Amino acid sequence: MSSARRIWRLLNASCHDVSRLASESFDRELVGLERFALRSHTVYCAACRRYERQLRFVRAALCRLATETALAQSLGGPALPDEAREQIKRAVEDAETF
Amino acid sequence: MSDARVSDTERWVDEHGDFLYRFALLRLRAPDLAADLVQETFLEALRSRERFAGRSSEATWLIGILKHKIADHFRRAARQTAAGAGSAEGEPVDSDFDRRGHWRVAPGQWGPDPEGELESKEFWEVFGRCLSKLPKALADAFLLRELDGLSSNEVQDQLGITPANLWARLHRSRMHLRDCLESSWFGGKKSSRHRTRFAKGIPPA
Repeated sequence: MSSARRIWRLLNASCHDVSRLASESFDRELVGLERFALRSHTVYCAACRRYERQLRFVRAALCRLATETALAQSLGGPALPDEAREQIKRAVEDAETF
Repeated sequence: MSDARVSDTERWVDEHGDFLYRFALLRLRAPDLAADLVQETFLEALRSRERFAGRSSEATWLIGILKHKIADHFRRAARQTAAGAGSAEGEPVDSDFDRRGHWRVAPGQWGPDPEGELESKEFWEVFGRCLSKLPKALADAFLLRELDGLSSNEVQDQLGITPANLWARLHRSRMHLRDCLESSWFGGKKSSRHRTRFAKGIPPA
């Protein structure tokens, strides 16, 4: 995209563009115009404001998950299959008796 | 070797095997590999248990070992596949927006205190299921970044992808995860669902 078109697009940023900028702001430094587009859009767009807040919430949740064992223990998902469980017990017992 | 010690290790597997396996599977998306790493985790724990000495909880100690094994796996995989490249997979994010870039369905209200949800065991149950729905190509990038705390550059190097590709994957991951949390948890729960606080600690039947 030419730079004139990029600038034009940022000045007319849609919710779609802004959702992308909101995400990228966590991963790289936005350039001035991008920051301006994000900030000015969220001033009047409640949906994008909410979206940005919810992304921050998701990040905070992952940050806690990374450090708190109790949360990792509560995650939903499949249980260790019986076959694998028995195999692991055998391996651990063998190592133990060795 | 005594009977007491043998049953001790058996108890380990029964007590911690499920959550370690779920965590490994979330990262690796391959059941056999996940079970292998869980086994290696227990074996390593056995070897180093003199050094454990109860400084942290048993679960924290074990998941710490597992996280190292997972990181090793990713590093090895990075060396083997010079280009893990490709485009970001998964449902196009674009479906959340119409042709003019407006929300098709605007993000909903998440209640007055979404942070309070983080204290609910049931929330994390749902959170795990939502994370496991992310396609692997997205989850690899997203969890290296958000769970392992690698910088964008480190994730790009490890996965052999361009910055633009990484940002697209992270954007899609966040969008998917947000959508899933809204539909599976925040969408009209509150009154209907009972919540178990960690402090009270009794898991639901």
